Amino acid sequence: MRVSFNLLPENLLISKSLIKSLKTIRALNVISIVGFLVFAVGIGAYFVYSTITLNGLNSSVDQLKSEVSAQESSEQQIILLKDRISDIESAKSQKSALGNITDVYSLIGNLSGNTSIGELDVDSGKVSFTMNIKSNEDLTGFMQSVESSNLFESVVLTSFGYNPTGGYVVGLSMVGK
Amino acid sequence: MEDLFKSLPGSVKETLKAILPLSIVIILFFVVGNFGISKINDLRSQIASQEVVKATLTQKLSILQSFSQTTDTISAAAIAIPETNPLIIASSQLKSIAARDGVSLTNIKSGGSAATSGLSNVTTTFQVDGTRDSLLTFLNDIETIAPITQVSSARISETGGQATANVTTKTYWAPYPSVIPSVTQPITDLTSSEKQVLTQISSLIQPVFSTLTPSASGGNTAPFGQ
Repeated sequence: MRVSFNLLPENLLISKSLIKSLKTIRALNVISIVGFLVFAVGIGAYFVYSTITLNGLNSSVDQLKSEVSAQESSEQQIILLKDRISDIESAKSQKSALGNITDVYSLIGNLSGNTSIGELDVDSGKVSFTMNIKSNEDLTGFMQSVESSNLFESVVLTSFGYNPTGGYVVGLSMVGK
Repeated sequence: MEDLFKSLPGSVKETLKAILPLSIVIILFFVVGNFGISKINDLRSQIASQEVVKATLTQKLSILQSFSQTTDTISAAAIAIPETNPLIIASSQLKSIAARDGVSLTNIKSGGSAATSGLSNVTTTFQVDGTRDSLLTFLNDIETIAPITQVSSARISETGGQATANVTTKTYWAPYPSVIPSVTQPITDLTSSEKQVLTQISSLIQPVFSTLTPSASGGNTAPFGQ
Protein backbone atom coordinates (compact mmCIF):
# COMPACT_ATOMS: atom_id res chain seq x y z
CA MET A 1 0.00 0.00 0.00
CA ARG A 2 1.30 3.42 -1.06
CA VAL A 3 1.49 5.96 1.72
CA SER A 4 2.06 9.68 1.15
CA PHE A 5 3.91 11.71 3.67
CA ASN A 6 3.85 15.47 3.75
CA LEU A 7 7.06 16.77 5.26
CA LEU A 8 6.52 20.35 4.14
CA PRO A 9 4.85 22.92 6.38
CA GLU A 10 1.12 23.34 5.77
CA ASN A 11 1.47 26.83 4.30
CA LEU A 12 3.84 25.59 1.58
CA LEU A 13 1.49 22.89 0.40
CA ILE A 14 0.37 23.20 -3.23
CA SER A 15 -2.50 21.24 -4.61
CA LYS A 16 -1.96 18.93 -7.60
CA SER A 17 -4.41 20.78 -9.77
CA LEU A 18 -2.55 24.04 -9.11
CA ILE A 19 0.75 22.36 -9.99
CA LYS A 20 -0.78 21.30 -13.29
CA SER A 21 -2.03 24.81 -13.95
CA LEU A 22 1.32 26.33 -13.02
CA LYS A 23 3.05 24.00 -15.48
CA THR A 24 0.73 25.17 -18.18
CA ILE A 25 1.36 28.82 -17.25
CA ARG A 26 5.13 28.29 -17.31
CA ALA A 27 4.88 26.69 -20.73
CA LEU A 28 2.79 29.67 -21.81
CA ASN A 29 5.48 31.98 -20.39
CA VAL A 30 8.12 30.39 -22.60
CA ILE A 31 5.88 30.47 -25.64
CA SER A 32 4.89 34.08 -25.04
CA ILE A 33 8.50 35.20 -24.51
CA VAL A 34 9.55 33.48 -27.73
CA GLY A 35 6.51 34.93 -29.47
CA PHE A 36 7.31 38.38 -28.16
CA LEU A 37 10.92 38.14 -29.31
CA VAL A 38 9.82 37.02 -32.77
CA PHE A 39 7.25 39.83 -32.83
CA ALA A 40 9.77 42.46 -31.72
CA VAL A 41 12.40 41.26 -34.19
CA GLY A 42 9.76 41.17 -36.96
CA ILE A 43 8.61 44.68 -36.21
CA GLY A 44 12.21 45.88 -36.07
CA ALA A 45 13.07 44.20 -39.35
CA TYR A 46 9.99 45.58 -41.04
CA PHE A 47 10.77 49.04 -39.65
CA VAL A 48 14.31 48.87 -41.05
CA TYR A 49 12.99 47.59 -44.40
CA SER A 50 10.39 50.39 -44.56
CA THR A 51 12.98 53.02 -43.65
CA ILE A 52 15.30 51.78 -46.40
CA THR A 53 12.39 51.77 -48.88
CA LEU A 54 11.39 55.31 -47.87
CA ASN A 55 14.97 56.57 -48.18
CA GLY A 56 15.24 55.01 -51.63
CA LEU A 57 11.94 56.60 -52.65
CA ASN A 58 12.99 59.98 -51.25
CA SER A 59 16.21 59.98 -53.22
CA SER A 60 14.48 58.94 -56.46
CA VAL A 61 11.78 61.60 -55.90
CA ASP A 62 14.49 64.22 -55.35
CA GLN A 63 16.20 63.17 -58.57
CA LEU A 64 12.90 63.28 -60.48
CA LYS A 65 12.17 66.72 -59.05
CA SER A 66 15.49 68.04 -60.32
CA GLU A 67 14.86 66.45 -63.75
CA VAL A 68 11.36 68.00 -63.90
CA SER A 69 12.77 71.38 -62.84
CA ALA A 70 15.27 71.14 -65.69
CA GLN A 71 12.27 70.91 -68.10
CA GLU A 72 10.75 74.13 -66.77
CA SER A 73 10.54 75.80 -70.17
CA SER A 74 8.53 72.88 -71.61
CA GLU A 75 6.22 73.04 -68.59
CA GLN A 76 5.69 76.77 -69.08
CA GLN A 77 4.90 76.17 -72.75
CA ILE A 78 2.35 73.44 -71.95
CA ILE A 79 0.69 75.61 -69.30
CA LEU A 80 0.58 78.59 -71.66
CA LEU A 81 -0.80 76.45 -74.50
CA LYS A 82 -3.48 74.88 -72.31
CA ASP A 83 -4.47 78.30 -70.97
CA ARG A 84 -4.66 79.79 -74.49
CA ILE A 85 -6.58 76.77 -75.84
CA SER A 86 -9.12 77.06 -73.04
CA ASP A 87 -9.51 80.80 -73.81
CA ILE A 88 -9.77 80.09 -77.55
CA GLU A 89 -12.52 77.51 -76.92
CA SER A 90 -14.28 79.97 -74.65
CA ALA A 91 -14.06 82.71 -77.31
CA LYS A 92 -15.20 80.35 -80.06
CA SER A 93 -18.20 79.32 -77.97
CA GLN A 94 -19.50 82.92 -78.02
CA LYS A 95 -22.28 83.33 -80.56
CA SER A 96 -21.34 85.23 -83.67
CA ALA A 97 -23.55 87.08 -86.10
CA LEU A 98 -21.68 85.65 -89.08
CA GLY A 99 -23.80 82.48 -89.16
CA ASN A 100 -26.99 84.51 -89.45
CA ILE A 101 -25.48 86.73 -92.18
CA THR A 102 -24.40 83.69 -94.18
CA ASP A 103 -27.83 82.06 -93.70
CA VAL A 104 -29.70 85.15 -94.90
CA TYR A 105 -27.49 85.50 -97.97
CA SER A 106 -27.89 81.80 -98.71
CA LEU A 107 -31.66 82.45 -98.91
CA ILE A 108 -31.36 85.39 -101.29
CA GLY A 109 -28.32 84.15 -103.18
CA ASN A 110 -30.37 82.32 -105.81
CA LEU A 111 -32.48 85.34 -106.70
CA SER A 112 -31.83 87.38 -109.81
CA GLY A 113 -29.68 90.51 -109.74
CA ASN A 114 -32.76 92.72 -109.58
CA THR A 115 -33.27 91.85 -105.93
CA SER A 116 -31.55 94.02 -103.35
CA ILE A 117 -31.51 94.29 -99.59
CA GLY A 118 -32.94 97.51 -98.27
CA GLU A 119 -31.59 97.25 -94.75
CA LEU A 120 -30.32 94.15 -92.95
CA ASP A 121 -29.85 94.24 -89.18
CA VAL A 122 -28.18 91.16 -87.86
CA ASP A 123 -26.69 90.06 -84.58
CA SER A 124 -26.00 86.68 -83.02
CA GLY A 125 -29.65 86.13 -82.07
CA LYS A 126 -31.91 87.62 -84.69
CA VAL A 127 -32.07 89.04 -88.18
CA SER A 128 -34.41 91.68 -89.49
CA PHE A 129 -34.33 93.03 -93.00
CA THR A 130 -36.28 94.53 -95.87
CA MET A 131 -35.88 93.46 -99.47
CA ASN A 132 -36.81 94.96 -102.78
CA ILE A 133 -37.96 92.18 -105.09
CA LYS A 134 -38.83 93.15 -108.65
CA SER A 135 -40.51 90.06 -110.05
CA ASN A 136 -43.17 87.57 -109.01
CA GLU A 137 -40.79 84.70 -109.77
CA ASP A 138 -38.15 86.05 -107.39
CA LEU A 139 -40.74 86.65 -104.67
CA THR A 140 -42.13 83.13 -105.05
CA GLY A 141 -38.63 81.63 -105.18
CA PHE A 142 -37.56 83.55 -102.07
CA MET A 143 -40.66 82.60 -100.07
CA GLN A 144 -40.24 78.95 -101.10
CA SER A 145 -36.60 78.95 -100.03
CA VAL A 146 -37.55 80.55 -96.68
CA GLU A 147 -40.24 77.92 -96.17
CA SER A 148 -38.11 74.95 -97.17
CA SER A 149 -34.97 76.05 -95.34
CA ASN A 150 -34.43 74.95 -91.79
CA LEU A 151 -32.03 77.76 -90.94
CA PHE A 152 -34.13 79.86 -88.59
CA GLU A 153 -36.22 79.03 -85.58
CA SER A 154 -38.96 81.48 -86.49
CA VAL A 155 -39.67 83.74 -89.42
CA VAL A 156 -42.11 86.66 -89.12
CA LEU A 157 -43.28 88.68 -92.11
CA THR A 158 -43.20 92.18 -90.60
CA SER A 159 -44.23 94.15 -93.70
CA PHE A 160 -45.27 93.56 -97.25
CA GLY A 161 -45.81 96.25 -99.89
CA TYR A 162 -46.04 96.60 -103.62
CA ASN A 163 -45.75 99.39 -106.10
CA PRO A 164 -45.70 99.01 -109.87
CA THR A 165 -42.32 100.70 -110.39
CA GLY A 166 -40.29 99.36 -107.44
CA GLY A 167 -41.90 95.92 -107.14
CA TYR A 168 -42.38 94.19 -103.82
CA VAL A 169 -40.96 95.43 -100.52
CA VAL A 170 -40.79 92.55 -98.05
CA GLY A 171 -39.88 92.98 -94.39
CA LEU A 172 -38.87 89.89 -92.40
CA SER A 173 -37.74 89.23 -88.87
CA MET A 174 -36.06 85.93 -88.13
CA VAL A 175 -34.74 84.31 -84.98
CA GLY A 176 -31.60 82.25 -85.45
CA LYS A 177 -31.25 78.69 -84.19
CA MET B 1 7.21 44.12 1.01
CA GLU B 2 9.53 41.12 1.14
CA ASP B 3 7.96 40.08 4.48
CA LEU B 4 4.55 40.40 2.96
CA PHE B 5 5.58 38.15 0.06
CA LYS B 6 7.12 35.60 2.48
CA SER B 7 3.99 35.54 4.57
CA LEU B 8 1.85 34.58 1.60
CA PRO B 9 0.78 30.93 1.27
CA GLY B 10 2.96 28.75 -1.01
CA SER B 11 0.27 28.28 -3.63
CA VAL B 12 -0.19 32.05 -4.01
CA LYS B 13 3.55 32.64 -4.18
CA GLU B 14 4.01 30.00 -6.89
CA THR B 15 1.05 31.33 -8.83
CA LEU B 16 2.41 34.87 -8.67
CA LYS B 17 5.87 33.69 -9.74
CA ALA B 18 4.36 31.90 -12.73
CA ILE B 19 2.01 34.68 -13.77
CA LEU B 20 4.45 37.57 -13.41
CA PRO B 21 6.58 36.85 -16.55
CA LEU B 22 3.43 36.26 -18.58
CA SER B 23 1.99 39.58 -17.42
CA ILE B 24 5.25 41.39 -18.24
CA VAL B 25 5.32 39.84 -21.70
CA ILE B 26 1.70 40.80 -22.30
CA ILE B 27 2.42 44.39 -21.23
CA LEU B 28 5.52 44.44 -23.46
CA PHE B 29 3.43 43.10 -26.34
CA PHE B 30 1.06 46.04 -25.93
CA VAL B 31 3.76 48.67 -25.45
CA VAL B 32 6.09 47.48 -28.24
CA GLY B 33 3.20 46.60 -30.52
CA ASN B 34 1.52 49.95 -30.04
CA PHE B 35 4.71 51.95 -30.52
CA GLY B 36 6.18 49.79 -33.30
CA ILE B 37 2.99 49.47 -35.31
CA SER B 38 2.27 53.21 -35.09
CA LYS B 39 5.82 53.94 -36.30
CA ILE B 40 5.47 51.43 -39.12
CA ASN B 41 2.07 52.81 -40.10
CA ASP B 42 3.59 56.27 -40.20
CA LEU B 43 6.42 55.02 -42.43
CA ARG B 44 4.02 53.12 -44.70
CA SER B 45 1.85 56.21 -45.17
CA GLN B 46 4.96 58.24 -46.03
CA ILE B 47 5.99 55.52 -48.51
CA ALA B 48 2.51 55.50 -50.06
CA SER B 49 2.49 59.28 -50.50
CA GLN B 50 6.03 59.28 -51.90
CA GLU B 51 5.05 56.53 -54.35
CA VAL B 52 2.19 58.72 -55.57
CA VAL B 53 4.60 61.66 -55.92
CA LYS B 54 7.10 59.44 -57.75
CA ALA B 55 4.41 58.20 -60.16
CA THR B 56 3.23 61.78 -60.75
CA LEU B 57 6.76 63.02 -61.36
CA THR B 58 7.59 60.11 -63.67
CA GLN B 59 4.48 60.78 -65.74
CA LYS B 60 5.15 64.53 -65.73
CA LEU B 61 8.76 64.04 -66.81
CA SER B 62 7.71 61.73 -69.62
CA ILE B 63 5.13 64.30 -70.84
CA LEU B 64 7.63 67.15 -70.63
CA GLN B 65 10.35 65.18 -72.43
CA SER B 66 7.99 64.15 -75.22
CA PHE B 67 6.45 67.63 -75.57
CA SER B 68 7.02 68.52 -79.17
CA GLN B 69 5.01 71.62 -80.04
CA THR B 70 7.04 74.06 -82.08
CA THR B 71 7.68 77.67 -81.16
CA ASP B 72 5.49 78.66 -84.14
CA THR B 73 2.48 76.85 -82.67
CA ILE B 74 3.05 78.42 -79.27
CA SER B 75 3.38 81.91 -80.72
CA ALA B 76 0.30 81.30 -82.92
CA ALA B 77 -1.66 80.44 -79.76
CA ALA B 78 -0.27 83.50 -77.99
CA ILE B 79 -1.29 85.72 -80.92
CA ALA B 80 -4.74 84.11 -81.25
CA ILE B 81 -5.54 85.28 -77.71
CA PRO B 82 -2.93 87.94 -76.88
CA GLU B 83 -1.88 88.98 -73.40
CA THR B 84 -2.86 92.64 -73.79
CA ASN B 85 -5.60 94.59 -75.52
CA PRO B 86 -5.15 93.73 -79.22
CA LEU B 87 -7.05 96.71 -80.66
CA ILE B 88 -4.17 97.95 -82.82
CA ILE B 89 -3.31 94.49 -84.18
CA ALA B 90 -6.99 93.77 -84.87
CA SER B 91 -7.43 97.09 -86.71
CA SER B 92 -4.33 96.38 -88.76
CA GLN B 93 -5.57 92.88 -89.57
CA LEU B 94 -9.02 94.19 -90.58
CA LYS B 95 -7.42 96.75 -92.90
CA SER B 96 -5.18 94.07 -94.34
CA ILE B 97 -8.02 91.67 -95.20
CA ALA B 98 -10.19 94.56 -96.42
CA ALA B 99 -7.47 95.50 -98.91
CA ARG B 100 -7.12 91.86 -99.95
CA ASP B 101 -10.89 91.38 -100.40
CA GLY B 102 -11.35 94.65 -102.30
CA VAL B 103 -13.58 96.48 -99.84
CA SER B 104 -13.16 99.93 -98.39
CA LEU B 105 -12.79 100.10 -94.62
CA THR B 106 -13.49 103.44 -92.90
CA ASN B 107 -14.51 104.95 -89.57
CA ILE B 108 -12.70 102.43 -87.39
CA LYS B 109 -13.55 103.08 -83.74
CA SER B 110 -12.98 101.23 -80.53
CA GLY B 111 -16.06 100.69 -78.43
CA GLY B 112 -14.24 99.84 -75.22
CA SER B 113 -13.52 96.54 -73.62
CA ALA B 114 -15.32 94.10 -71.35
CA ALA B 115 -14.19 91.09 -69.35
CA THR B 116 -15.97 87.79 -68.82
CA SER B 117 -14.34 85.26 -66.48
CA GLY B 118 -10.73 86.06 -67.33
CA LEU B 119 -11.40 86.45 -71.04
CA SER B 120 -11.69 90.08 -72.11
CA ASN B 121 -12.82 91.51 -75.40
CA VAL B 122 -12.47 94.80 -77.19
CA THR B 123 -15.22 96.04 -79.48
CA THR B 124 -14.38 97.61 -82.82
CA THR B 125 -16.88 99.30 -85.11
CA PHE B 126 -16.26 100.28 -88.71
CA GLN B 127 -17.91 100.87 -92.04
CA VAL B 128 -17.26 98.66 -95.06
CA ASP B 129 -18.18 99.44 -98.65
CA GLY B 130 -17.97 97.09 -101.59
CA THR B 131 -19.93 94.69 -103.72
CA ARG B 132 -22.18 92.14 -102.02
CA ASP B 133 -19.80 89.28 -102.76
CA SER B 134 -16.68 91.09 -101.64
CA LEU B 135 -18.48 92.25 -98.49
CA LEU B 136 -19.53 88.69 -97.68
CA THR B 137 -16.00 87.43 -98.32
CA PHE B 138 -14.66 90.14 -96.01
CA LEU B 139 -17.17 89.31 -93.26
CA ASN B 140 -16.22 85.62 -93.51
CA ASP B 141 -12.53 86.49 -93.43
CA ILE B 142 -12.94 88.47 -90.20
CA GLU B 143 -13.29 85.21 -88.33
CA THR B 144 -10.11 83.81 -89.87
CA ILE B 145 -7.72 86.41 -88.48
CA ALA B 146 -5.55 86.31 -85.42
CA PRO B 147 -6.26 87.64 -82.78
CA ILE B 148 -9.57 85.80 -82.69
CA THR B 149 -12.27 88.21 -83.80
CA GLN B 150 -15.99 87.66 -84.17
CA VAL B 151 -18.70 89.62 -85.93
CA SER B 152 -21.07 90.77 -83.16
CA SER B 153 -23.53 92.62 -85.31
CA ALA B 154 -23.88 94.19 -88.73
CA ARG B 155 -26.22 96.61 -90.45
CA ILE B 156 -26.06 96.10 -94.19
CA SER B 157 -27.75 98.11 -96.91
CA GLU B 158 -27.50 97.75 -100.65
CA THR B 159 -28.01 100.37 -103.35
CA GLY B 160 -27.18 100.02 -107.00
CA GLY B 161 -25.12 96.87 -106.66
CA GLN B 162 -22.99 98.36 -103.88
CA ALA B 163 -23.28 97.24 -100.29
CA THR B 164 -22.46 99.24 -97.20
CA ALA B 165 -22.14 97.61 -93.82
CA ASN B 166 -21.67 99.04 -90.36
CA VAL B 167 -20.01 96.20 -88.55
CA THR B 168 -19.23 95.62 -84.87
CA THR B 169 -16.62 93.04 -84.01
CA LYS B 170 -15.26 91.63 -80.81
CA THR B 171 -11.57 90.75 -80.45
CA TYR B 172 -10.53 88.64 -77.49
CA TRP B 173 -7.56 88.82 -75.16
CA ALA B 174 -6.59 87.41 -71.77
CA PRO B 175 -3.62 87.83 -69.45
CA TYR B 176 -1.09 84.99 -69.39
CA PRO B 177 -1.19 82.59 -66.45
CA SER B 178 0.90 84.07 -63.67
CA VAL B 179 1.44 81.00 -61.52
CA ILE B 180 3.30 77.84 -62.41
CA PRO B 181 2.08 74.85 -60.40
CA SER B 182 4.45 73.23 -57.92
CA VAL B 183 6.90 70.56 -59.16
CA THR B 184 4.82 67.73 -57.71
CA GLN B 185 1.58 68.99 -59.28
CA PRO B 186 0.48 66.59 -62.05
CA ILE B 187 0.32 67.77 -65.62
CA THR B 188 -1.65 66.36 -68.53
CA ASP B 189 -0.52 66.16 -72.11
CA LEU B 190 -2.45 67.96 -74.84
CA THR B 191 -5.60 66.03 -75.72
CA SER B 192 -6.57 65.31 -79.31
CA SER B 193 -9.24 68.03 -79.22
CA GLU B 194 -6.67 70.53 -77.90
CA LYS B 195 -4.28 69.53 -80.71
CA GLN B 196 -7.15 70.05 -83.14
CA VAL B 197 -7.65 73.60 -81.77
CA LEU B 198 -3.92 74.22 -82.27
CA THR B 199 -4.18 73.06 -85.87
CA GLN B 200 -7.13 75.40 -86.40
CA ILE B 201 -5.37 78.44 -84.95
CA SER B 202 -2.25 77.68 -86.97
CA SER B 203 -4.35 78.34 -90.08
CA LEU B 204 -5.50 81.79 -88.88
CA ILE B 205 -4.17 84.79 -90.79
CA GLN B 206 -1.24 85.97 -88.70
CA PRO B 207 -0.42 89.65 -88.28
CA VAL B 208 2.78 90.86 -89.88
CA PHE B 209 5.12 92.59 -87.49
CA SER B 210 7.89 94.68 -88.98
CA THR B 211 11.03 95.49 -87.08
CA LEU B 212 12.42 98.98 -87.39
CA THR B 213 16.19 99.11 -87.70
CA PRO B 214 18.01 101.98 -85.99
CA SER B 215 19.27 104.68 -88.33
CA ALA B 216 22.91 104.52 -89.33
CA SER B 217 23.76 108.07 -88.33
CA GLY B 218 25.37 108.56 -84.95
CA GLY B 219 23.08 111.45 -83.96
CA ASN B 220 24.16 114.80 -82.59
CA THR B 221 27.57 114.34 -81.04
CA ALA B 222 27.53 117.77 -79.34
CA PRO B 223 23.95 118.39 -78.20
CA PHE B 224 25.01 121.38 -76.05
CA GLY B 225 27.50 122.73 -78.56
CA GLN B 226 26.98 125.52 -81.05
